[in-house]
Amino acid sequence: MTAPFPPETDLDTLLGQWAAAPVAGAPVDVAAILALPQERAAPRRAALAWRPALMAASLALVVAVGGWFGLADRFVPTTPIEVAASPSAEAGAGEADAAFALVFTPTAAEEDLI
Amino acid sequence: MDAPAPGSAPPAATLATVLMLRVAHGDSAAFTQLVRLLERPALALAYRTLMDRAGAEDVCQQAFTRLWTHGPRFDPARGNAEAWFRRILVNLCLDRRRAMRPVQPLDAAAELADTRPDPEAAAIRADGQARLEVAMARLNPRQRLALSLFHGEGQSMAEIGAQMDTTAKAVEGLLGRARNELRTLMNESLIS
Repeated sequence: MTAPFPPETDLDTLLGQWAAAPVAGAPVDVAAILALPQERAAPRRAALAWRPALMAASLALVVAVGGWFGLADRFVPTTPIEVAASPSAEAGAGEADAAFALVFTPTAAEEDLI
Repeated sequence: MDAPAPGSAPPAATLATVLMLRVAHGDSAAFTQLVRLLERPALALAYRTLMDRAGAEDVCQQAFTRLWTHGPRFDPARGNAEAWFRRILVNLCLDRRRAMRPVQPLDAAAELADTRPDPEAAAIRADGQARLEVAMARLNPRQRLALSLFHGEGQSMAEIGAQMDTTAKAVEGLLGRARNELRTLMNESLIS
């Protein structure tokens, strides 16, 4: 039976050599890269917080004005509403007037005092 | 302690971070200097992940292009420039590898590497380093990437996890499986 190869230390040495070996290659083409523009983040637009509030206020104004001009006339009655009073209600009203007159009409003595 | 002002370099900023802050303001001289600083390690990492020199060069070009065009988004408070750039590079490598899979499966690539008729090359394969290269070609690119970041860049599990969008625990598992697989593949090549 053959001994397992390589032992830990040998493998570490080999891996160290493998990782440290220089690699030749073409240099990076810097000029080609520098010809490209840099991607700069667009500057943040300040004071964006008030926009939703402004939009809500504008919408409310549109609804209010629309309601004022367009809808107000639809709910105004063209003829006055007639209120029909029942005969018993009329009789009741007469009694109430009589009672009111009795209580609040001053007597001759009271008028003298006034 | 006061936090650094936004857009300014933190007190212990690396050279790359200082240069990147200038790049973010469109400084082309700083960009050229930054490319010279990062291109060799970037090419090595891309090559070890992709096992394809032309592909690695292409990915490096794309990564530096993104570094320039997206430069104004760089925020030193979220990490140094090297880590930011490495993350771009790692994503591009994995995207490219995913895109290439239907055209050239990894197994097929390994077969090509493993069946060189040249007797001299066969003799070289007896060497441990050559066997490692052959075994590496059969690992999946995520495993190669993790090994490269761990052994080449000397990164911690947590740092590798951050680069690869995974956890430190997952990286530990990934590295463990990669090492086991490497050992098995190297044993196979020793027997054959």
